[in-house]
Amino acid sequence: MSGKPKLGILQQALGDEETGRLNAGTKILLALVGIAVVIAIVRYIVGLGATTNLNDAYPWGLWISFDVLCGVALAAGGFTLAATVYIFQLRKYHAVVRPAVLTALLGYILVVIGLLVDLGRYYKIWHPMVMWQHTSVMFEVGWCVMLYTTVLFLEFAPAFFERYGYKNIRALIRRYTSPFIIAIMTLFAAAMSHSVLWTAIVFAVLGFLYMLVARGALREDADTPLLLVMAGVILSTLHQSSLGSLFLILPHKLSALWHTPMLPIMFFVSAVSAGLAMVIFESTIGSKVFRRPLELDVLKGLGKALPYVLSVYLLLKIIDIVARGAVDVAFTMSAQSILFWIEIMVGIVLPIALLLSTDVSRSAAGLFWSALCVIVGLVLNRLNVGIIGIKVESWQTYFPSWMEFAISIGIVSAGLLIFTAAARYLPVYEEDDPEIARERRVELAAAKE
Amino acid sequence: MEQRDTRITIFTTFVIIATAIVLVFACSIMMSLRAEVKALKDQLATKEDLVAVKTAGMNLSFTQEKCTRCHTERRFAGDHANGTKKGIAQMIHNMEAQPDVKLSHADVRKIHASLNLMKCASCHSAEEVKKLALMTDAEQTAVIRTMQRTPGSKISPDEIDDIKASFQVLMGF
Amino acid sequence: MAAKGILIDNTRCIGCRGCQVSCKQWNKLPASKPEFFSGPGYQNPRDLNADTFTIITYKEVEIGGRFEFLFGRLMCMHCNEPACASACPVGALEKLKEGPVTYHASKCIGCRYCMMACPFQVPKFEWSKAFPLIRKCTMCSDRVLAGEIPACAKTCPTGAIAFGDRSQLLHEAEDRIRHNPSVYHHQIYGKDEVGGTGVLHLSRVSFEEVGYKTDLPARPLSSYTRAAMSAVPGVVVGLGVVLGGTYAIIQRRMELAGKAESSVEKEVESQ
Repeated sequence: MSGKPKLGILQQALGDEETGRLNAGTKILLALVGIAVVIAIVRYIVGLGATTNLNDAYPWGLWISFDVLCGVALAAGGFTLAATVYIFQLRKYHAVVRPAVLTALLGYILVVIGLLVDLGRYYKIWHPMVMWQHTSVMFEVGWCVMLYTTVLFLEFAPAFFERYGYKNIRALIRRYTSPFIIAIMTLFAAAMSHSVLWTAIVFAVLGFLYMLVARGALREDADTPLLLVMAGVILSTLHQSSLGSLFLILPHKLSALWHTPMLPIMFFVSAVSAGLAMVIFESTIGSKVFRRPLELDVLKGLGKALPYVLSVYLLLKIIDIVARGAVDVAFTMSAQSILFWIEIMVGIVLPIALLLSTDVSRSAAGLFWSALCVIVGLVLNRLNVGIIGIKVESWQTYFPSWMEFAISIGIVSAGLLIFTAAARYLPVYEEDDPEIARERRVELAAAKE
Repeated sequence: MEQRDTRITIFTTFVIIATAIVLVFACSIMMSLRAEVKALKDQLATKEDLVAVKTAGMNLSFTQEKCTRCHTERRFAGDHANGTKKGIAQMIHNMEAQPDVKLSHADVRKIHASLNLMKCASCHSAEEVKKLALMTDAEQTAVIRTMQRTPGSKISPDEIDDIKASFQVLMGF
Repeated sequence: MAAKGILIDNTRCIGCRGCQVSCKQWNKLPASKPEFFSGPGYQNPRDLNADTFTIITYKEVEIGGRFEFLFGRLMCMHCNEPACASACPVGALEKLKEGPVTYHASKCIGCRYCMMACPFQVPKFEWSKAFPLIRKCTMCSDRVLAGEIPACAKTCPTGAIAFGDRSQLLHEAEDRIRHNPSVYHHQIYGKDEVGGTGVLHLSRVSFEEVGYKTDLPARPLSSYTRAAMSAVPGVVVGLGVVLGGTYAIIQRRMELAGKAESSVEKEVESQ
């Protein structure tokens, strides 16, 4: 028995491995989370009017634009990388899939928490599950987010089982994941289409694929079944784009700079770029915080794909604005047009210019800063669509209250802390090839006997 | 040296892309401007157009709607154009008393006004009278006064306000 | 009961605000403290809010060289195809076939999407409550469904507010314009705006002058999202096929490459 002092849960999870001391950064994050919790309780007691600056002209503010819109878009790394690795079989990126999935999972859970604070009647958040209004974009968003969070849970679950065993539960999950996916996707199709035909088609297509896998005609990774990854990509595509579709019904309320019938496509493409950028971003930060080697090869690959995605996005934006005749608005002198230009220049043009230069796209620092530009551009875009681009009377105004900021910051801090704790307890980062790691464990077990 | 080269490359690429975007936007604005200029009408609006717009649906001969069911136009052009206010009022009152004649208060006012304006009809057409619609109150009074002073107008000075009021009644004010 | 509507004629309105008062009485709404604001008009409060379902707005206009007050009416337009009903994720807002657009408080989750979606900015929120609701004019649906007329229509002393079948009110409005062409601005506000609304307005001057929103599209706002929503099942099936197909193709290619390798190895071994 060594003389290790008794450590509390927080110190065990987040503190130094030897002494349990929490460093300054962790303490600050914990404090921010604590403040947010207190403010959330206040919000539930006194209501939204007293804690936020939301008003009838700006019913949606920081929490929707940042926590929900940005949170979902920045978690797009999960589905982009899962598709890259498990469908397009680019195994080179395997090392970054799991951290991306974890980021996405935490991101979505925190989006739901953010919603629980923002919704006026939060205790009825389950209503869309049973009250169906399939013409409403928000209905689709709610269902997609709910189902996709489940998918993310299942995609991340193998990490839990690798560490803690529970072989029988793991086997159960392995066996029933695909049928479960077929069931929820069929239910989803029924809720969205209100048509027996479409529901039957979805069931048939997914069922056919399941049959191919079961018969052995298609092989799949036991822990990440094909249907699971496919459901993840389908649901992500749908809700990343429908977060944009939310604003389609607002031609009167959203500035012409951003309101376009192409909103869903714009949101989707920008989410893909943000997903790739986030993977670069959190890998770099993760390698510093957890003192791990940086997978530069992987990041360089992502850095090569990013300029293409950004160029497509830029092209779509320019063509869209010209085709809609909204160019005049871009040249007026207003807060909206200035932020529009910043969004394009800093968020799209600058990273393209940076990543086209070989020196930048080959260096860790260059990739990091380019990714940061993309992320800033994405956050600015969502804030523009959600708050800044909203048209109101001249006497109506909105700026988030300090309590709104506190909750948003607290949510991000909570995400960072949970990620750190998860990385300590679960095999989020693979040391080497999983095959070798498995062999080693078998050897160790054999040696013990 | 290498770092400087990189910076220059990045800067140049950035400027090129930014310029391209602004160029595309500028062209788009230019083209829509040209289309707008092309679509400008060759014909500009005339004063008659303005009058027509302002007096749309105005009926100077309101009497035509209400009185010609039983009477010919000649009947009142001759008898009542020079009648006194009281005389006209009495005459309308007599007509109201007839069966089959439905006149509301607004109708009576308009008939009054119509008959009043017949004073102008001896020299002016309806189109000319309607030009009063473009003028302010003070301008209307001034014009009517000028007409009154013209020899042969058969209008007395205290009828000026009456005529102006009649015109405004028919305008729907 | 055919679809009902309301016809509001500002040439008859005298700005007595009896409609505002009777609306508050019938819906048991508290009074609003007077709000003095800089800008045209003397309405109180400045805009609709959770406790005020209708407001008379004041606008001074110049007609024939004289200044006159004209009174606009802010209230729910009870659209034929309401954007709010289409936007609500749980169907808490519903257009009844009798005309009114009603609100089911028990379903509402407080997401406030209806507030963003309404082109007339009508639904308002109870920001001050811990368990807030969306509030707006109900066209006195409880009275209408019982065969009565809305409180505002009942109270109006000049007949500026008419209540009846929407189709009949439309005829009535057209008649009024036809018979008094110089009195009315030749437009029935609400006939075509956003697909037509249950509440129609007639005015002495252009609606823009009175302060109404005039840049609204003629198509119902829900038509903007229809294409995106109806594409959803197609995307599910399409992506399912594409992803499954891609996976199968890539796997086949990898298998073939693997077979080619192992057959090369076998050849090397056998030599």
